[in-house]
Formats: sequence, structure tokens, C-alpha cells
Amino acid sequence: MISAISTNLPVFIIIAPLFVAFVLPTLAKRKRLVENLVLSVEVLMLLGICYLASIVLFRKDIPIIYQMGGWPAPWGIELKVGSLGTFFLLTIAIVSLPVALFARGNLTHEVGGKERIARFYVLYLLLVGALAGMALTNDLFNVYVLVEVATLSCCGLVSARNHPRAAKATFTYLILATLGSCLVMGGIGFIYIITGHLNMEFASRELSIIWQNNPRVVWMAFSFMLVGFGVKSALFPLHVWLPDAHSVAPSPASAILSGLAVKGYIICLLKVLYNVFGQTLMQAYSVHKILVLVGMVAIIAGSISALTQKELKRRLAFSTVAQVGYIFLGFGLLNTRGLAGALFYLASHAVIKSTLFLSAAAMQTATGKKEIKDLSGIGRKMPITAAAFTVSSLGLTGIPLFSGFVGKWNLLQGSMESGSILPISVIIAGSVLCGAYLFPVIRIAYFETAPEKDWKDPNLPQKLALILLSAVIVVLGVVPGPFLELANRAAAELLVLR
Amino acid sequence: MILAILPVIPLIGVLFLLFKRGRFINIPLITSAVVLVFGVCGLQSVFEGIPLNYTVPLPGPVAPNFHADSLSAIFVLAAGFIWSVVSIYVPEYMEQEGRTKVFELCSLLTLSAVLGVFLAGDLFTLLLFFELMTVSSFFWVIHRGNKEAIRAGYFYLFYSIVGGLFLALGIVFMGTATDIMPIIGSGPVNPLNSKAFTWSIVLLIIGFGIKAGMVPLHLWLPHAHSVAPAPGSALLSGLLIKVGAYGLIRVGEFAGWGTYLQGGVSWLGSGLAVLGTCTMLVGVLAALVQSDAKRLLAYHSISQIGYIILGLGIGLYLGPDGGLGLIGSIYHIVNHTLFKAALFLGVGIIYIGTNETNLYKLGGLWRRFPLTALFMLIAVLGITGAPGLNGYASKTLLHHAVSHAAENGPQWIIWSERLFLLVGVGTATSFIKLYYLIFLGKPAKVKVNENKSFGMNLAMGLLAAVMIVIGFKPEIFASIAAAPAAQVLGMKNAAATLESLSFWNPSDVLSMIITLAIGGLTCWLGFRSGAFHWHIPAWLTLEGIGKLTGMSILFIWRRGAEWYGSIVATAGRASGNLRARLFKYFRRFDKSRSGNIGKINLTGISADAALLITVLMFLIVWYAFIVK
Repeated sequence: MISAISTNLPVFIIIAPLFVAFVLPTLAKRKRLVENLVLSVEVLMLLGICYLASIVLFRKDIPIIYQMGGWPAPWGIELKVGSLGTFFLLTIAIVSLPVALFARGNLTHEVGGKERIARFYVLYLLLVGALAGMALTNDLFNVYVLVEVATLSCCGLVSARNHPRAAKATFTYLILATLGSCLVMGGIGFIYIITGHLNMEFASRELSIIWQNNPRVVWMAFSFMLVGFGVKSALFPLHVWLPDAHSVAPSPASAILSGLAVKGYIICLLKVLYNVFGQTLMQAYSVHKILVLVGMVAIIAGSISALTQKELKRRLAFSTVAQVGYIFLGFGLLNTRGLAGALFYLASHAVIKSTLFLSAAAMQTATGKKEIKDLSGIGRKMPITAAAFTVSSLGLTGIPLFSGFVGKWNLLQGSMESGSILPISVIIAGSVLCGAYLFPVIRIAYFETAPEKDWKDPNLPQKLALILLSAVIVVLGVVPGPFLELANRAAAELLVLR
Repeated sequence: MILAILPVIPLIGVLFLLFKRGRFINIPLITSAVVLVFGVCGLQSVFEGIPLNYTVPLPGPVAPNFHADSLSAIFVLAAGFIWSVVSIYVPEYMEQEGRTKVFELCSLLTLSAVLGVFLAGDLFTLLLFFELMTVSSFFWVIHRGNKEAIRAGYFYLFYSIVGGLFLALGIVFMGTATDIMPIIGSGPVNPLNSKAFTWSIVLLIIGFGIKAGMVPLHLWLPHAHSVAPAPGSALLSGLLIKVGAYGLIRVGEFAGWGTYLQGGVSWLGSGLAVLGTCTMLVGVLAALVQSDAKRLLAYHSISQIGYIILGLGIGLYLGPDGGLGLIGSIYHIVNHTLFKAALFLGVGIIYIGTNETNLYKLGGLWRRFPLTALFMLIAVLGITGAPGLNGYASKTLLHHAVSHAAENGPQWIIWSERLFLLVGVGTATSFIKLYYLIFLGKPAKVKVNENKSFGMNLAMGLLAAVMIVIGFKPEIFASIAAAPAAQVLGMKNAAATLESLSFWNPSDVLSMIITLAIGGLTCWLGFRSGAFHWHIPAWLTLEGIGKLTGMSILFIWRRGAEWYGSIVATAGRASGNLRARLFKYFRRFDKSRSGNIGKINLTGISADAALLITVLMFLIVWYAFIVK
């Protein structure tokens, strides 16, 4: 029994949330049961993922490969538990558990009515399951299916709040994301045309032999993939849907959307770029230059856009655009340090941005105001929320001893290794800009006098979630050890020349 | 062992202070006196050229290192002395301001941090104490708790945190450049990766430069130093900005004192000298038009730091012959500590007596504060460099160094020598103005409170006495402390150059007196013409320039966003036309004939979609150029 579970663990991690998601609607009337079920699934996932991570960390040799239905590779679908997959799974588990905890505290208020809670959780679990699948899958068509599942559940999450703005944002998102999916599908099609394989490893092997016969098809595949995943992961000029969608969604949803959903597509793109096309092809088509360039533009433009926002949640949403730029920049550096830094930054941004969104949501719920200037003096009335916000802003800015620093530091070293000065200065400038748009909030929260109002810290589950996430930020900053090790190993594996 | 004990003494003092019941024991005074005594006894050997090292035996990877050579010893003793003097001053002054205990607590914590910085043996320990210093001194700045103080405090904190960030980055880059963290006091670093080393030096200079108030990173300084209570300002201006200068000296050590700098850091000497000249000039020009006594003094702190940085720059620039620059800088650091503390304390006495720091509302006060007036006169003469007082000695040394460099140096050094003299005149002018407006002039109509001011005057008197002693025997400090420090840092022939120099050279004395006289004359001219009331137009100040650039960037950004929006909209319209034709047929099934479905506008979305397609097209075209 035990051995059956542990061999089937990879698929169990994906199936468990999906299965529970389909059971939930039948229990919709029993709110407590639904919430407990969701939390226990999350905890189970966390435990399973930790087990997998320990196996991957201590058994250094080969990745665990799981064949769906027992069909071997070129025919069946493969799940591959490598360093990259485990790394992203860990991120998913660490972020989604506290967010679910937070949702338990404030969801009734956010989505407007008890009966809607079960619907929200269905979408939430579908999204988590799809993301877990993205982390593990080794099959191109499977990637497409999971991307679709994730996209549709994201749309549902954005529209979970009953509001005309939410409907509009969802519609925009739906149209653009569907276009993106079409492009991804097209890209996969191009690869399939010339290689005849959907399994990533086989496709990659085939591609490295025959790409020179069909250079134009490869280049179409590259462009389709970049734009398709770019629009889903809010790469700079394609981010137009993000600020609306992330700022009107219910707060647990915006936390998970900004923190994890965007990252799932980034991981998919990373797999396609490095595992299917490989480093040689990227250099041949100078994709890495595009990535670095777009990343730098995204950092600067996103940060400046964030500076001009007056609403807190919109500011945070634009900040996501900027931070995604860092990750793309790291992907384009083509060295282990930079890639590992980008991966670590991806994880730390997932944690930090969800903390920011959750604490912003708690402040908004207490004050009933959206704008930053209305938060004066909130630091003394809601100490825990404001402390979580402060810790996470310090982390995002990249102050040492917080997790953002480790990522940014590795990125910096990666850019130094790649030898160009521009990315270094953009990273530092991005840090300064990040401080410029986040520190005023802290100043207003702590240094200005509060109006005579009865603002209080949120209830226990929400407080617990905030404390957990802040603790993760600090722990990752002080002892990044195993996490960074996983990121390093993943980066090294991705960069192996095929 | 003594090295680790020194920073701990003030912490013990903090414990005593927390559990103190009676009000008659001045614990900060006792603590800093103990620090001074321990320092004098324990650090004797370092002046003979034997540095002390101590590593705290902690298990694990982080073991704080301590190191003392004669440079650190000078700073430690200066800190101990200045803290004792200010502690004598504090109780009587703080009776008026209130919240004495908080102030004393912060000041002891800051003392501990400052000692830690000076005695740190590696850069991590230094950073640790540096950050502690920032946080604990922040409470001095916000002590008054009014809006202005909070604003200045926020400014101070923001700048310091950014400075700390730069330091941290610099340290990490240093780690990359050298593989093992360089130990402070181990001489020039031999970098493996010279690019990283250069970056590290740049970042460290920015980090320490913010603390020192180097132009253009000085914007926080006038605000922070003028709103703190007088003893706080005295310590901030007297010692805390010297921590930045200390850091710069150590940075110079990593690059290599007494050698001709090569490779990625060859610009360091001239760069520092130019920055120092700018700092001097900006500080003194801004000080000339101030009407608030404390702001005037704060701007002069910037100007005097400029002297110090200039000296360091010249010292590095001249390589082995730069001994005078380094010695002059170290000497000027100590002197500036003495007279700037005395000046702030004196203005504090006036403030307690009259509740006023605006110069134009004061006047003729020498009758009411005779002792203060006397000590202030000594301090003013000291800072203007009058012969017979301490400022003269260090300024002469610095002037010798600069003119030596200018003898057959490039044009910019000749200019910085001229500006050096000009800044001397400016200093004299503004201090004659300060002294005239407060103590001489026609008596003002201010209410003078009667306070006991014995302790406050005693503190000033002590400082004045030391200044006079140094002033009459300038060669003693130079030869027993400053020259060994320079020699330990690597200036091999520093002592020899000092031997060959006479402090009482008639031409030097004469030039100082002429400077003073011209200063007096310009001061008189300034009063007659009303030039002191000139307000600098906003676009000339750095803050104004920053604001203007920010506004213009924002303007350009908004314009760009408008254009971007219009391009997207045009694309949307274009695609809209195409779509409109297609949709016309489908629309027949639809009831609404407009571009809206409910509240959703389709045009915007199609514009976004068009953008997406455009990007795709762009990418495809891009590849067309790459793939042959």
C-alpha cells in the first residue's frame, strides 16, 4: 500500500486537487466541510511534495519518470519529477496553502454570499491541479491541455466577484488568453510537423538533428510560443489585461493569480525553450537576446507604471509586470547563475506578491478604501497586517536577509558573468524604483496620523496566513540553502547541451 | 579582548540606565568616560605600530572580527571624548526638550554602534554596526516629534537604508572579486576579478558617501542635522558623518594607499578629489544664504566633509607622495569633530535661552551669555582656520597637499586649489556673519530665560581647551597619532614629509590672515547689499533639479503612454474596420447594433488583440533578418 502510494505520488499530486474539485459542488451547502476539505487537500499536497523534494534532493542521479497508464515514452504521457518540477511544486504548495487559509477567513465577504464559496474553491483547486501538472508534465500536448484548464479557471476566479468591472476584465482576459492558447497550440503544431513527436525529450532530440532543414518552421514555432506564453504571463507589451484582472479579482484569487498562475505559464515557456528547443537553437535564433531586452524594458516600464498608480492593488499588479521582467531577463542570460537566480526569484516573488496582495486585501477590507493615501496610520491599528506588508516590500525591494535579495543577487552575478553592464544597471534601477513605489505605502502606514476609526487586524486564519507567508520570506532569505540548491540543479540541468 | 569589550561597555550602560531610579547619576557620562579610559589604556600599543586583532570565539560560520590600528584608535578616542563632553551637556539641555531618558538610551546605543564600526575587523561586522548606528541615531532626528522632525527623520532613514543597501551590495561584490572577504587593515586587495572589484569600490563609496554627506548624496543632511536636539546635532555632525569618512579611508586602503593606483580603480584619487571639491563648494555656497543657525552649521558640515574628501582624493592621487593629504584629512576629521560639536552646543545654549535659532531675530547676546560667547569665538576661529587654533593646522596641511599636487598637475587640480582658497573665504564670511548676528550687533528683542547652564558651558569649555592646546602645539597630534596612522595604512614616507614641514611658516600664517580679512570684508559687503537674504531659485538646488527631472520624465512618460494608446487605438480601429465588415453579417443575429455587449466595449479588446498580433508579426520579421 505504502509503496503503491509512493510510486504513484507524482500523479496523485495532480489528481488529488482535480478530484476534490469535482466533488466539491455536491457538498456546496456545507461550508465548513468544503473549507476543511480544501485545506486538507492542500496539506496532503504539501506533504507529498516535501517527500518528493527530499527524494530528489538526496538522490542526485536520475529524475523519477512516471508513465501514465504504463505506456512508454513516445506513445504515452510522461510525468518527469526533476529538479525544476520539484522546485515549482514546492513553490505551489508553499503559496497555495496559506492563500487557502486566508480565503477561509474572508471569502464570504469577498465573493458576496455563502453559496458562491464552493464555486470559488472548485476553480481554485482546478488551477492548483493544473499548475502542478505544468510542473511535472513532459509532454507538449499535455502542456496545452493544462494551460487551457488553468486559463479557464483563472477567468472564473477573476469574475468570482459580482461586479461589472470584474465582468469586463474577465472578458478581456478571456479573449486575449484564448488567442494566446491558439498561438501556443500553433507552436506545438509546428514542432509536431517537423519532429513527429509530442514528448519533449524525443522532440528535442529530433529537432537538434533536423532543424537546419526547416529553419523557417522552427522560427514560426519560436514566435508563436513566445507570444502565446508571453501574453499569458504578462510580458511587457502584452500585459494589457493584467492590471484590470488582478486588481478586481477577489483578494485570495489575485494573490494566487499574481503569485502562481503567471509563474505556471513561465515554467511552461521555460520547459519549451530549454527542454525542447535547447540552448543551441536559442542562440542560433538569438531568442536569449529578445528575452533579456524584453525583460529590461518590462522592469523599467512596469515599475514606472506602478509608480503612477494611486490604487494599492493596481500598483501591486503593475509591480508583477516588472517582476516578471526580472524572470525573463534571467532566462535570457544563458548561464547557471542567472538561470538559478531567475528561478529563485520566481519562487520568492510568488511568496512575496501573494503576501502583498493578501495584506493589501486585509487593509482594504478594514478601511473600505482602495487608494494608498487612505491608509494613513494603519500600521498602528493593524500591526500584524502592516508588518507583513513591510516584510514583503523589503523582500521585493531586495534588502539582504529577505528572500528577494538572494534571487536578485544571483541574477546580478549571472549578468556579470554574461559580461554586459546594461542588465546590471537595470536590475539595480529596478530595485530602487521598487523601493520608490512600495516605501511610500509603509511611510503612510506608520508615520502619518490615523483617523479615529475602529480598524483591527483580520481574524485568526487570515493573520495566520500572513504570518506564515512572512516567515517563509525571512526563512528563504536567511537560509536559502536547499531551495537554492534545487534551483541551481534545475538550472544546470536545463543548460545541458544536447 | 579589549576590542570586543569596548562596544559592549555602552550596552552595559544601557542596562543600568533602564533600571535607574535616582536622577543624579549621569550614566552616559560615566559610560563614555569608562570607554575613554579603557580606550587610552588598551589601545596604547597600536600607536607603536602593533595592530590588535580579536575574533569572537563563536561556533558557526559567523564570527565577528575586531581589528584596531592607529586609525581606528584615533576615531575610538575621539568618539569617547566627544561623547563624554556631550554627556556633560545633555541633562541641563534636555530638561527643556523633555524625554531625556529616550535620548540617553539612543545615544548610548549609538556609541556602541560607532565603536563597533571603528573596531570592526571585517566588512560584515562593519555593516552590522553601521545599520545599528542608523537605526539608533534615527531617534535623535525624530526626537521632537513634530511634523518637520518626522519628515526629516523619514528622509534620513530612507537615505541611510539606501546607503546600507549600497554597502551590502558593495560587500558582496567584494566577496566575488576576492574569493575571501578582505580583512580590514590588511592593506591593498589583490582582486581576482577586477571588474567586480571596481564595482565594489564604486558601491562602497556611494554607501559611505551617503553617510558622510558627500555631494550629490547630501540632501538628507541639512534636514536631519538641524531638527535634532542640539547634543544630537553635535554628535551627528561631529562624529556620525565621520563614520562615512572613516569608511572612505578604508575603501582607499582596499585600493591601496601610497601606491599609484592601477587598473579599474585608477580614477579613484582624482574622482574623490573632484567630488570633495564639489562638496566643499556646494556646502559653503548653500551655507552663505541660510538664516537658521543650525541649518548654517549643517551646511558647513557638508563643506568641511568636502575638505576631508578632497584630502583623501589628493592622497590617493599622489600615490607615495600623498602622505600630507591623508594626514591632513585625518587631522581635519578630529578638528572638525571638536569645533563643530562646540558650535552646535553653543547654538543649543542660545536656543535653550531664547527659544530661537533664526539668526536675524537674535543679536547682542554676548552680555547675557558671556562664557558661551567666548567659547563660541574660539570655535568660530577654529573652523575658519585662524592661526593659533586647531583648524589652522589641518587646513594648512591640506593646502600644502593640494598645492603640491597642483604644482605640475592638470588643470582641474589647479582649479580645485583656487576653489580651496575661495571656500576658505566663504567659511570665514559665513561664520563672521553667524557670530556677528548672534552675539554682536544690536540687542534683539527676545525674551531670555534664566537657566542653569554650568554644565553646558563646562562642556563647551572642555572642547575649547582642547582646541587651544592643539592650536598652539599642532605638531604633537600630527606626529604621535596622524602620521603613524597614515604609515600603517601604507604611506611609507608620511612621517618624513611631516618632519620637513613647519606649521608656522610665515606665508601660511599670512595667507590665513588674509583669508580671514577678505572673509570679514565680504561679510560686510554681504550685509550692506543684502546678498545673504538671496533665495536660491528652485532650479539651482539639487532637490529642485531632481524634482524637475522627475516631472519631465513623468511628462514624457505620460506623453508616450498617450501615443502608445493612440497607436493601439488606431490599430484597433483598423482591425475594427475589417472586423466590422465580417461582423456585419453575424451582427444580424445580435440585437444590439453597437460595439458594446452589455457594458463591455469590444473595440478595446480588439485593439489589445491587434497588439498581440503585431508583436507576433514583429517577432517573425525579426527572425527573418537573423535566419539566412
